[in-house]
Amino acid sequence: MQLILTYLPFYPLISFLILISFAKRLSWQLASFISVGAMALSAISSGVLVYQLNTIDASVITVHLWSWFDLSTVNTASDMIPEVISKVNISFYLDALSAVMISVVSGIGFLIHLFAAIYMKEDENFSRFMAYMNLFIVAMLILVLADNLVLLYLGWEGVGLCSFLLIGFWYQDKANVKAARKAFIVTRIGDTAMAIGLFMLFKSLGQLNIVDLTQSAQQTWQVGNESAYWIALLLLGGAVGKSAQLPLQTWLPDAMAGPTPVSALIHAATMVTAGVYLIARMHGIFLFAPEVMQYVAWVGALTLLLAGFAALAQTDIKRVLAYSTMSQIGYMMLALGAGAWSTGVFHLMTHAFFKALLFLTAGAVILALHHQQDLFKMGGLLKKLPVESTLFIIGLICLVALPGTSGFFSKEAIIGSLWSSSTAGPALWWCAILGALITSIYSCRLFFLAFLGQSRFQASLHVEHSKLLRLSLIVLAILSLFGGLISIDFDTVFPISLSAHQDPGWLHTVAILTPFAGIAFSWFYFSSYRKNQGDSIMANSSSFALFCRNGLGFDWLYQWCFIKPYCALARLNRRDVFDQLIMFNAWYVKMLHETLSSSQTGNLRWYVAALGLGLVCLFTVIMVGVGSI
Amino acid sequence: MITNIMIHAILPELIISFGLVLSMLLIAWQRSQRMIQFLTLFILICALVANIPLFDMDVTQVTSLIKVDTYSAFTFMLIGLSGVVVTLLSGQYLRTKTEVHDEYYLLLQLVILGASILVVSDHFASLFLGFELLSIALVGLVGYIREDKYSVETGFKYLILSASASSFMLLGIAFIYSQTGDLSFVYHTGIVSGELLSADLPTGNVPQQSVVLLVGSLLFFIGIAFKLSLVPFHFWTPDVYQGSSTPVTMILATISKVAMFTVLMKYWFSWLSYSEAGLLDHDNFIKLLSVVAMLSMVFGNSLALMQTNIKRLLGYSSVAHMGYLLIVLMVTSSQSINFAWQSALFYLAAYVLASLSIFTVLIVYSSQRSSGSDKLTSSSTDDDICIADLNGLFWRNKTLACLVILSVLSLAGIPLTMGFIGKFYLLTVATQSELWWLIGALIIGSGIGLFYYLRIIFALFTTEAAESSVNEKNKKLELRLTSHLFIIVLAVVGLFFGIFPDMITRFIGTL
Repeated sequence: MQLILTYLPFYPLISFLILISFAKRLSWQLASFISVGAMALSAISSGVLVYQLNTIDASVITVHLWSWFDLSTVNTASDMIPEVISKVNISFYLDALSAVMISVVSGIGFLIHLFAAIYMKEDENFSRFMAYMNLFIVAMLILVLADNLVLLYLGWEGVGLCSFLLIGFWYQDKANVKAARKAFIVTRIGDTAMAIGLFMLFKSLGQLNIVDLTQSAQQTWQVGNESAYWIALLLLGGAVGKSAQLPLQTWLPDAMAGPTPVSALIHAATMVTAGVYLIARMHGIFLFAPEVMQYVAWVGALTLLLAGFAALAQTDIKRVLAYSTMSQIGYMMLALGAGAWSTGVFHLMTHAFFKALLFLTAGAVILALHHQQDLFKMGGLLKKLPVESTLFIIGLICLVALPGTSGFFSKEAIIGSLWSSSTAGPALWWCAILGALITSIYSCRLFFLAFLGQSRFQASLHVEHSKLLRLSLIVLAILSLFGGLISIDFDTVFPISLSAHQDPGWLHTVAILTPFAGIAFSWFYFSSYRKNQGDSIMANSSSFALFCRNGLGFDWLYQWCFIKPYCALARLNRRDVFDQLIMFNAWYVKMLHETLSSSQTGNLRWYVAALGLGLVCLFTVIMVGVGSI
Repeated sequence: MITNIMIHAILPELIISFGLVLSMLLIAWQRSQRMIQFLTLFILICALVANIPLFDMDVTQVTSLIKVDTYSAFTFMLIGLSGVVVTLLSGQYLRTKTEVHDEYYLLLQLVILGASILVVSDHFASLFLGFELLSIALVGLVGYIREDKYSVETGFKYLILSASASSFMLLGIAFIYSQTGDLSFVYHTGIVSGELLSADLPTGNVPQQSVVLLVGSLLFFIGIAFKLSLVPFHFWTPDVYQGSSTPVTMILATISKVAMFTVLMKYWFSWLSYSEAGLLDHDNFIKLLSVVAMLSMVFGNSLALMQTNIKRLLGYSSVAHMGYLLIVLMVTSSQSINFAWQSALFYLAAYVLASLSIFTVLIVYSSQRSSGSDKLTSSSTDDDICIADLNGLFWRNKTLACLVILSVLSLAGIPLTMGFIGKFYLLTVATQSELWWLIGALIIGSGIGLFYYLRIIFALFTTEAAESSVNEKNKKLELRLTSHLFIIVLAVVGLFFGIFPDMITRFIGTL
């Protein structure tokens, strides 16, 4: 059992090493067999582990691989313990929370790998692509299995690196490179905040092991402790960077430049939820900072509204999905902020199912349309691609949270937990309801534009009839529909929710009816899209629509507030001032060299004289020294 | 009374002296370069073997003149090994010339004898004996190739300057003797007239007479400082390095430096007993030493900065290295003397190995070049290797270039080489004694040093050839198998001790 856990991240690691070493020498069959096979092994292992976790009593499996390094700190606060030595181990910690994560990462990862093997078949750098994907899985597994924050940070940076590599996978196109760079730099801001948070955490608690940390926090801190406030705030900074929440959300839409399987795996199902995982994992710290929990809730709420409005105006199918991902993560954050940890993680799981399905189906559609991503150039696909359309509809109804789907269970649970939560409240409840309304409206808009009406696409469709491709999509569709029935017992991980308040009865009715209201609204509002007869239509180009399409102007804001001043400063200092100072040193040394060199005349008489002169000098020095005493 | 143990203790020196007589007899019997070279090698190896048991021996006083301890055994090992390398390479170097060179090997043995006497001496008489043996034999060696246009000039320069330094030293010894009445290094209480001490000590003032002792010590120090080419006595170094034939430069850089530094340390740490007896103001002298050390570090490196001739460059760099080494003398407490010794020995070992390696490359390269080209007549320019001559060496002979890189990095003190560990030791000594100024000078010096050391490495990879001999540059440089093996051995040893410095530190630590 522990062996299975030990080997879990090593299957993709070995596959990565093989693929990156042999690169183009591997045939498509071999490369995909190795990478997908490694993922299959990981997925099976995860399944076995989750099964066993439910059968044993301890509800936790730990495995210690080796000791990484020791950290010692001089504890200045109390003289009782002069030095605390904290070991940083490479060890894995599996509880219900990480079990959910590994099954999502390796299970959905496996399906997406399967899809990617066919989707990317024609690419000349196929094995490099699969190698990066495998490396991503390794890093993500390390992130979720880490028993201490240093190892977690290793995985955290690892997934960031892989995200960078994969967004810029088609590096010949400059826009992709820019998007990759943007994603990397923006998430780095959050990572830096998180690193500072970790330093502070270690300074105040002298621990980095997550379990010990939670315990010692309970012993030493009171609720509202100031250092807890700052640490939680900094960790939140890391989380918003990785999970593309306000104010670091701008990288995610651009990250869609990567291949579609990447968008599905990294930028929808797994990596972007790492921030949610981090907060859920560190709930022991966040509980001591109720203000920060409120911030978490508000960040989630604002992001979900902002992303919803932005999604309403997008013309690119993948960007609609990207904004939708952002807003769904906003729901998760909202749940975490409200203290409903388990519902947040539950939504993470169901969202991974249906968003991976949506992205992969979108990928299949895009493939069929010869890489056409513009919604206004699609239309009428329901008749031409019936299987894909059906799958897409399944994904959408989950996203909209129609009753019975997995999205319904998780989203209703989140909305239900808000009203009476001490750190959320009615205002946030209304935000969530509004978000749900917008979600259903943009989903309908997307569906009408792409699948209804007459085709606006001229060329013939390129339909891939691969069984494996379909298989992975169908499995995801089944998971999306029925994933809500999976019940996870989080009682051992999270504190049991205390809310025994009676919510007003009309809340649930409103929450359930909201999506239908949205659909009804769109049915009439977007009727021109629905009834389109194949003539070209233009996206709404009013200034408000443009504003929404550009992500509510955040890119523009950052461009003017940070990037332009920074570039101006850099341009101003093109001849680096410090460089000049250093060059001055070089000049000085050179002068010294020239002066001294001129003393090397090669004349014997001067050398002898210098010997005598040296004697006199030293003699003077020593005599002055003696005299001064 | 000389006992068996004493004989054992000075066996290496005895073997070399005996070997000298044997060599002269051999010359009388038959003049053959190969035979005399072989004999020299044999003698040196015998001496080295006789040296091995000395590592396990206790400190042995052989009369009042000589004291053998494990430190001197270690330095003798360094000297002997350098001697072996020099002998091997001299054969190759001299073979390219026409004459038979028996005297050369005699002088070489004399140098090694002088150096080995220096490292075991415990008395000014034996010190001076060794000092002069070393210096005079070296004068002979420096001016050895008399048809060379620089050789005689260099020989004269070295002779006159070295004689001046020796006379300073002799005067210093006389001053010291006038105060202590004893020529041995260690101060024995009671020899100095007791009334002077007892009268002046309680007042806390420095006794008037100790100024003479101070001046004597200063003069003595100048004699040694000349040999170590410390600033301001460094002027001869580049000229002599350039003017002598490369194997002789190698001797100057390794054997002479090691022996001189060891004897300086021996004297200096014995000298602590003077200051403990209140006879001397130790701090004052330390200040002087720090000034000399700092000047050597900065000036040596600055002088080497734009130097194009490699032998001159190495001469200047030796000024800086000896400056770094002076740091270990600043140790004042007698507890840290052991650590100072260990650091100094490690640094010396690293420096000797790196110097041997780079000079080996120069010798092999220049002899290969002169045998390759038909311009045998212009023998004088063979030794003058400029950095530009090494251009693109890496593409012509990888082994040779790798050895250059390794030794240069070691001299510059880059991690994974012995030089780095050595410098690290010095820094440790300096931080323990809180010598912040010296640390600053060491860092600045090393920073400047990096510039010219790296220039050599850059040259190795440059593809543009010097315009003088384009066709010569393009062909591969083939080495004889023996040279090739020799170079590989040097490189492997350097790399091995660079990666596993424990092997040496554990060895020195047990001393």
